[in-house]
Amino acid sequence: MSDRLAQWYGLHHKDAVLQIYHALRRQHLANRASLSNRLAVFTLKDGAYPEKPLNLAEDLTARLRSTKAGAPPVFPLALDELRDSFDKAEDWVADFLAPSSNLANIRKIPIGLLYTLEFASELRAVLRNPLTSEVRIHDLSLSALGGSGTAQASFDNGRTTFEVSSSNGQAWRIVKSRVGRIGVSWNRARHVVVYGRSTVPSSQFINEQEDAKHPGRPLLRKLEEYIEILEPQRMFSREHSAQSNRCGCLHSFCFATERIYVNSAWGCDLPDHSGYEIALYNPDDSSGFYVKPWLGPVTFDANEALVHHWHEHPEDVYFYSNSDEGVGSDTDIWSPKEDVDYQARATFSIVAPAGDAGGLLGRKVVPDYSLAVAENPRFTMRVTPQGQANIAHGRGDKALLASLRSLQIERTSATSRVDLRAKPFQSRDPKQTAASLFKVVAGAAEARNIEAVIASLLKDARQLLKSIGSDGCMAFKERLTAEVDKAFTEAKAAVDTITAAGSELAGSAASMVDGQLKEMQLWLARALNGDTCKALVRDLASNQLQALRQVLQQILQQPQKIDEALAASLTASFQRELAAVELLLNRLVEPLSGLHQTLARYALGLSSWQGHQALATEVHQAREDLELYLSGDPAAMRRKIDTWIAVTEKRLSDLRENVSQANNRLEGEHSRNRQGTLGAVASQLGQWGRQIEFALNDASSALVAFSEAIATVAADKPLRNAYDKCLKTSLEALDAFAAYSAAALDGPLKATAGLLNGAVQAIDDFGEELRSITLGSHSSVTALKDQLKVVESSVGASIKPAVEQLDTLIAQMQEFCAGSTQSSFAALYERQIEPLTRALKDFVVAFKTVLEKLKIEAERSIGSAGNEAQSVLTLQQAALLKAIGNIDCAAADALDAFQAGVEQTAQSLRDRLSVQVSPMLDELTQHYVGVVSAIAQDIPGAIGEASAALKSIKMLIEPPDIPHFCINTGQIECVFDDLRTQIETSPFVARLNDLEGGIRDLGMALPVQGFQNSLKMLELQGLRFNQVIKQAGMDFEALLKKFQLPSLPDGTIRFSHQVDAEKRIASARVEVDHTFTSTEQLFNIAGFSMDVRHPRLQVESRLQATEFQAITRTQARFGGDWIMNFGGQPLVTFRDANVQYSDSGGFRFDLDPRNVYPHPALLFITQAFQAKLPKLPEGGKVEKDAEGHPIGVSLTQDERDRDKYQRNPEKNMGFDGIGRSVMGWAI
Amino acid sequence: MAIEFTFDSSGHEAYLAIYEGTEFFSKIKLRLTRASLTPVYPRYRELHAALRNMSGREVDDEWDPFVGRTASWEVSSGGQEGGNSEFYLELVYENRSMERDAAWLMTLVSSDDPFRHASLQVTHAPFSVSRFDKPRMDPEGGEMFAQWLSNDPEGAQWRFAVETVTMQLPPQAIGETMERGARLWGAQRVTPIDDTKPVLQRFSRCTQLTVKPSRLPRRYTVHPGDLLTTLKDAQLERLTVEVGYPLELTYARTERATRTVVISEVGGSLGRPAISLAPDLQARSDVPDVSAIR
Repeated sequence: MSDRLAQWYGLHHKDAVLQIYHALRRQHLANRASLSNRLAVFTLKDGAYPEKPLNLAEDLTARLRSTKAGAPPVFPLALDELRDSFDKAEDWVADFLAPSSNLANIRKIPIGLLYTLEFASELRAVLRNPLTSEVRIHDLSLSALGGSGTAQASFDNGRTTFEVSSSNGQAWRIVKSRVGRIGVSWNRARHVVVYGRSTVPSSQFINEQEDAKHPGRPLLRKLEEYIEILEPQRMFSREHSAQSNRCGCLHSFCFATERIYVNSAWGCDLPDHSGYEIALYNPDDSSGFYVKPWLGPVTFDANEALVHHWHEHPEDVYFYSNSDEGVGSDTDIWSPKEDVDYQARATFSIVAPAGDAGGLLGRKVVPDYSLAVAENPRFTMRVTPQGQANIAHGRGDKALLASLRSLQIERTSATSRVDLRAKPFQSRDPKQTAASLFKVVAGAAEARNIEAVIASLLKDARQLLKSIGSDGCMAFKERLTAEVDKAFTEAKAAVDTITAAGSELAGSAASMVDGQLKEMQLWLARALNGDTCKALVRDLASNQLQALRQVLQQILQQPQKIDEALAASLTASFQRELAAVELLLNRLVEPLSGLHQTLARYALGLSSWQGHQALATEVHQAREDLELYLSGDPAAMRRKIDTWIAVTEKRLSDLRENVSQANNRLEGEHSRNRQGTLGAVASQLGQWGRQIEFALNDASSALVAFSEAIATVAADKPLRNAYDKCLKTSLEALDAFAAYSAAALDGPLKATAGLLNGAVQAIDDFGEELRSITLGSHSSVTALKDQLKVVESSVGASIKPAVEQLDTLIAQMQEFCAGSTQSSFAALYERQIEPLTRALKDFVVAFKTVLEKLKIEAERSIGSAGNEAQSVLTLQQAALLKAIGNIDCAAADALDAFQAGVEQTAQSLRDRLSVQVSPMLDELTQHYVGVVSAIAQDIPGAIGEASAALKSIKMLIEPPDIPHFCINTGQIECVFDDLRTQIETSPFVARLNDLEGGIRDLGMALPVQGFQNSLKMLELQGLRFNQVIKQAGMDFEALLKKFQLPSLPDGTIRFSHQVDAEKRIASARVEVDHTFTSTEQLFNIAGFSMDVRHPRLQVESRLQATEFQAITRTQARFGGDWIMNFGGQPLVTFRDANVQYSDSGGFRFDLDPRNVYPHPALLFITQAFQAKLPKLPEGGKVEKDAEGHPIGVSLTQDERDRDKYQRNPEKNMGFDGIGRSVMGWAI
Repeated sequence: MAIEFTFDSSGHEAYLAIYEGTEFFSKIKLRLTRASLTPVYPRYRELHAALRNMSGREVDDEWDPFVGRTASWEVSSGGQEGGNSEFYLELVYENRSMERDAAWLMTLVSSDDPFRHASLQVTHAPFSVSRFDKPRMDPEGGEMFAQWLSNDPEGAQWRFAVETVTMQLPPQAIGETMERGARLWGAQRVTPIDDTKPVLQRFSRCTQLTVKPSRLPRRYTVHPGDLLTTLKDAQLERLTVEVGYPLELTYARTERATRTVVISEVGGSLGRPAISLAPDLQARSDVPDVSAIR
């Protein structure tokens, strides 16, 4: 402000202006002072652009300092130790990591960028070469307080990047990211961990940080962790491997959620430490923070538009990061990883058996024969489609729309699916296994389908009623009755299949149990892990105790008088170290408690299951009581019976309550702890429990029926009739079941519970012993504390004796912990754990018999469930037939009773059979798949290996809605057969190698059987010509009997099949075109023979099924040069003579007379007989050309004859006319 | 840069030549036992202006740092008494054309490396702490380690045979204990942060800085002892710094570098309150009354 201005202001508002002026002046001086007293900040700038913030990547290098460069050792992992499989001799371990003895101390100081790493494989990858030139700095400035700015450095060939932003030396944001990709689909992604300065815990990690909230303190905290999808649309057609591999209808893999929050706790290092993986979702997480991500494959529809499919289980999708040495950050060239991108196991093709051949387009039940239970959900994705995909995209001309249910994709080099009928399964003993697997799969499929078989009756009934109308009620009822009979026959057959599958249980119980027990032994060994325990104690000696001794040694070397400060610091350091010692000792017992709890809980669950004997007695008693009452005087006994009913009703409901509670408890335990073997026991018992519940339910409802029935009976009439009718059966069944359960189950259950309790007891004993061993340490600890007090109290006096005493005590404890004498901890531990190991071993051995027994019982239980289902079916069938009789076709609710009956049947089939049997059969399926997989390793191309090419292996689709194709399976399996070259050479439907097998793979019941019948006469191998040329002048029948066409090469028969869902047309076509190079002799008798030279066979047969009809058209032609010989010399040659067949015209023999070449010696005979043509047989005709010259002879067989032929082929008249004319000519 | 000399008690030499009456050349060689080099700050304005070849206005624009401890070097003759080492100041006066273009040349010569130690500088305002490494003499400079020429084309100034200056700044990164969550606390399940104590921290190593004070390619540069002057748009040659603990970054300028990184104190690009202010109004009792003006 200039003087003039000041003056001017002063003139007008003197005081106010003065005040302001003074304030401004003060402020100005203060500003000047603070500016010159500021912190000197040296900024780095680009010399050419000094006004812009620096962004520099040139001439920069970075390194992570190791212990050799002055940094302290680190240990950022969640594990307590590097796994043994790591090569601990590698340089980085010594250069960077803390020795395990110092681990506890190091962990107290999690400082530095390396603590953002949580996976051992990543740590190794980064530290293997802690130098990098991929560095970038932004806007850096230096000062006496510390630097400000942002630095970014990538290690491990650019795979891990640290980005630090700091202000005055203190980092306020650290971002660690690791490049990776999504398993199988290979979308590029990165795993990001963010640390930031915050005064409150992170909302993502609230569960992990709530014990240490440090409210209000601006600490560096782990704030976020997420997977960022860098390639939201992975287009498969743009992959390098796309040229040799087309993915059919798969367009891409899409992530609608591009930032997916995860927790490293869900991930793990791969077993070979070549990287790590993290699941993208955790359904078990209860924090509510994590949102289910939207992701899934995208396919083409019929118009080339894209259809999204959302993955239903994103927890089975993994982020994977490779950490192999010398591999860069381009995720596309990382080699595929086993169990991440593909699985090293065979995909089996299970071929469903031939369906019912009756009726071309009749009902077919095609059960789902897939091995879904044995599938790995990582590769078989369940999806929710947003529309219909054209699964024939890139494979055929016609679109085939379908809703995808699941999709199996892998990056595999497997070249074929394994057919269980393949050689290795046939040639050896495993054949049995393959057959067993097939049987079980069939059983499981039937179990899943049986309900649908019955339920479909309803649909049929409605359709029938609609098509027949109420006028033809009788016809409708007849048809419906037939349908019911058929459905029930099918269902009963299915029950048989299921029961047969169940019978596999006993046979394979031993090997199944072996597998399960192996798993259990592993679990026990892991839970106990004595080595860790011993190592902990050894560390205690070499770490904490040694530290204490060092402190004492220092004091002893300077035996000055102790002052209060020294005493205080000594005590403090002792207290701290002793606290650590005590904590360690407590940890020894920790793993035992987990083991104890699991086993004890199961034991409790089993114990609650041991009431069968009581149940049996009770039911039996009740029955006897009732018998007694029923036999007595009706009037007198009536009241007693009423009381009995009330009591029994109450008792039954109590029992049901108990059983259901026990069931729930067992199920709860099972879902909380997935220990496989115990889980198997639980599931088998659960199955049993449900049966008992049903039996009790039945008895209860029967009781109600009984009580209603006797209410209608006069008081003085006997009640036995009502009893027999309503109650007897179910009460007897319950009695028998209870008695059987008591005999069969109580024993094993008791034994199992006893075994479990024994194991629990052994564990407890060991825990006690362990405590007593460590109690010795505890008492030493107490002694130490006492001695410490002595040291403290000797303030002012010489402390040497007291400290020496203290040192001796610690030395003793050290000796106990680390020594190898008989009285050392390790020796004592070994001695104590020995009985436990023995006890557990005994337990496992004993458990085996129990498990086997349970499996056999399970088989029996499946059998009885089957029997029950059969009887239910018989009863319900009768009821349904009766209901049909009562249907009034005109009534609006005509089908209500029928519907109720069908629903009830379906319900009881589900409850009594499907629900109970399925888990057992699934377990069995998995077992067999394991066994046959081992055998499949010998089959070339069966086991997948790494391949960059994405293969669609299998899709499950919803059945297309095509009339006449009644598909009674919930889903259809589309298998991409030839995995080698994919798509074009293996179109989904269009070019199936094997018509029947292929269509069965589709799960569709197409009219294959009828089609095959129509093709039968074209079956070439074994075609008998005596059926074709018969009674032809001479009796060729006998001559031709032996002649059969040589077999055709496989490649000459081509089948194709198309389903056009839009036009509702299905068609199949078979084509044969083959020229034999040989000359075939038709017959040779007494020097007279007939040859066919270079015979050519052409066949084309089509089947087209529309909504209204099925049309078969077949045309065939068998031609070549026919040569008639006599005495080895050709008499006549018929060039290009053909036998033709067509549906409309029957057989025709086609010969152009100009193509007849008689032997010159015979020419005159021909000419001599030229005018005298033989008389043609009926149906025969002389073919003449336009000028009236005869050009040939043909015989047309009319339709009636053809029918006659088909009915009785042996007496067929087929071709005699042709034969006679030919012979007439010839002679 | 002020240079103080302590001359030897003996052994000085003088040489004088007179040509054609009016032109003459004189050379005086003064033996030194020690000399001290100290930065000079604008407070000593005349010295500053003279020694750094600045006008008074330019000196006004200079910052006025308050240096608590300067980085000064004591340079002594080294070796033992009577040794072979040479340490002298040579004054050359030459006048060849009738008092016009008379030129003074002062050359400081030492046969030994004159700098023997590093030197610490603490500047209070603006606050900085730095430690200058022993200046490394350019071997091409031979034994002459400083020169002053009265008719220097860039203005008379002391020039030192020091091409680059290397210094250290305090640690630039502080690592501190992080809260990672219970899962990573280790076996003892105790948070590493004690709410009753400050968080544990670790310091990075010191920052090493090598700069060319002048971005022009010249062998002799300004004094190597003043932080703010040295780092005034200096060209960064090498930098070792930690921005995040323990990530040590190194910038090393190579011959083929396409970019030049310069370093300067942020004050250089800031404005600042003017030094002179209008006098206090209260002191102006002669402010006329409004009515008087009218």
